[in-house]
Amino acid sequence: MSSNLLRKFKENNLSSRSLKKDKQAFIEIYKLYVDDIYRFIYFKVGHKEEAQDISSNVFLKAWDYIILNKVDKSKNLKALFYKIARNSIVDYYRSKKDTSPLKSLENTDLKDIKQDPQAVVEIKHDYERILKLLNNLKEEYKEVIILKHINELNWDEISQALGKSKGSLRVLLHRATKALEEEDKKDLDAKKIKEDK
Amino acid sequence: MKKHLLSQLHNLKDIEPDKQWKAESQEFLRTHISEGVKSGVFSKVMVWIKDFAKVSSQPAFALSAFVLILITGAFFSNSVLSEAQPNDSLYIARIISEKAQLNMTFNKENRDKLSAQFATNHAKDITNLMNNPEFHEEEGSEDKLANLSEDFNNEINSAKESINNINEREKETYNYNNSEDNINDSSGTNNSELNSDGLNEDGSEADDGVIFSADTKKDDQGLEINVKDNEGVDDNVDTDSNETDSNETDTATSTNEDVVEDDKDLREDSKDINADKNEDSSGDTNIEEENASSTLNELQSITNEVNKEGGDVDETTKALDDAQKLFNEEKYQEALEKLNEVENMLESVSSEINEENSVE
Repeated sequence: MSSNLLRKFKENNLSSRSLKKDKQAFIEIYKLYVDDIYRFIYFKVGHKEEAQDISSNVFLKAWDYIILNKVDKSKNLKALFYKIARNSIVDYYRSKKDTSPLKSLENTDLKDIKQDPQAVVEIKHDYERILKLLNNLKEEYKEVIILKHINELNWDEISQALGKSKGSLRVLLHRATKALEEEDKKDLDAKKIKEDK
Repeated sequence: MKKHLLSQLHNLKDIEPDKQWKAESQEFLRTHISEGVKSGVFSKVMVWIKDFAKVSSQPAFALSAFVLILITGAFFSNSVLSEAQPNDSLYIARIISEKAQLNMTFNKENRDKLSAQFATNHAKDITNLMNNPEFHEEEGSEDKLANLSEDFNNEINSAKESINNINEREKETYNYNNSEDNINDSSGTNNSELNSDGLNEDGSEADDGVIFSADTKKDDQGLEINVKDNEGVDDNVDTDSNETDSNETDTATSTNEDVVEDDKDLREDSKDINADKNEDSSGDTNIEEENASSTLNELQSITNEVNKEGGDVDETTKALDDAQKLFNEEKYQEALEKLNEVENMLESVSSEINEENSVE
């Protein structure tokens, strides 16, 4: 818990310094949030290189907004990154015809997996399964699950990122969870039937 | 949510971006941030423009900006439109801008002076136009001539009116100042010793320091200008303004004559006081004598001022009359010269006004 508080304090400090156009603080903020932002974009667009490009643009745009004093200093910087990321994804969808979701984690790096290659393949197989379940959901369900259960944002941050009230977000998450469980059940049933055959 | 699903979702957190890409992206961001300083000036300008646009959308700011533009436009357009001649299409715009300028002048004296200057300028422009042979060769010039002559007379009357307003205001100021001084000089008289008839105990009139109450048909405020006559004259806006001008001149002259009469009365009173001096006690007589002589001096100074002011009014009005006569006789060049004289006189009047205002 103390480590969480420290992390929280560090984030707040870096965030406020970045909003005051502190370049070094912004670089530190980038290091803190780049993984989450990349992951969020990657699960949405399904392509590694595109996710990298979009992620880079997110931080560049955020810095430009800070320089132009377009950022409300009372707002959370993390929420700003997610907002920009969402808008960039929408632009990406508009420009690209291929909106196929992520199907394979073949070229994806996994964090600190100290296991044999066989284990890694199995882990990746699990990841692909859950991703497949996520991809079967509506975009807004997928979004809220990623933010809450994968990137572990709090309700305030999600509310600012998605522009919705906390109450509606809780309802949305509940429905998203139900939908995910439905998909999981369908997938398990389908596997059973396959195995039975 | 079911636990296995939740754990699988949490495990997705292990997916991270390529380390090489992270390093390259970080370096690129650092470069972009550093370069951003150079473009900051342009960005600041854009930010300022956008902030200004936000502020200007507010109703209060928009209204004040609109009023400021109107005022600026009125003044600026006046300088641009000042060259417009009576037969130009922009002449009406010039008149409107001058009226706007007059309305924005809150000081009455400056407004009258400005009004007189504008009227004189209009008269000069009309005279210039009449003096231009090309104008007479244009089609429909006869109708225009009649209209211009009427306009000229109206401008002359307007200039005279403004000059008279200045003069009247000056006189009122002198009278007010003078009456205050007279009240302050009445310290030698003890009014509580007056009998039931308002006279002193010895029967002489109570000398409260006001010299105009004796036998001059004037009130105790000093010189009384015959306002009714002036107003009646100003209402008569005729093309033949000679009668008007002579009445105004007579009024100014009559004012001077009244002042001279007062002067005579005061001298007589002064003599009476001297004659009674030997009979009265020395203290009261000396005080009365001092009062009389001081008020005599003040009256003399007022007479001089009024004569001077009256003389200034006379000269300016006379010059306007002469200009009008010359204009009617179609001697446009001479009329122009007279109007130039009027302009110079107005300049001297305005400099006096400015001096008085600075002293106050």
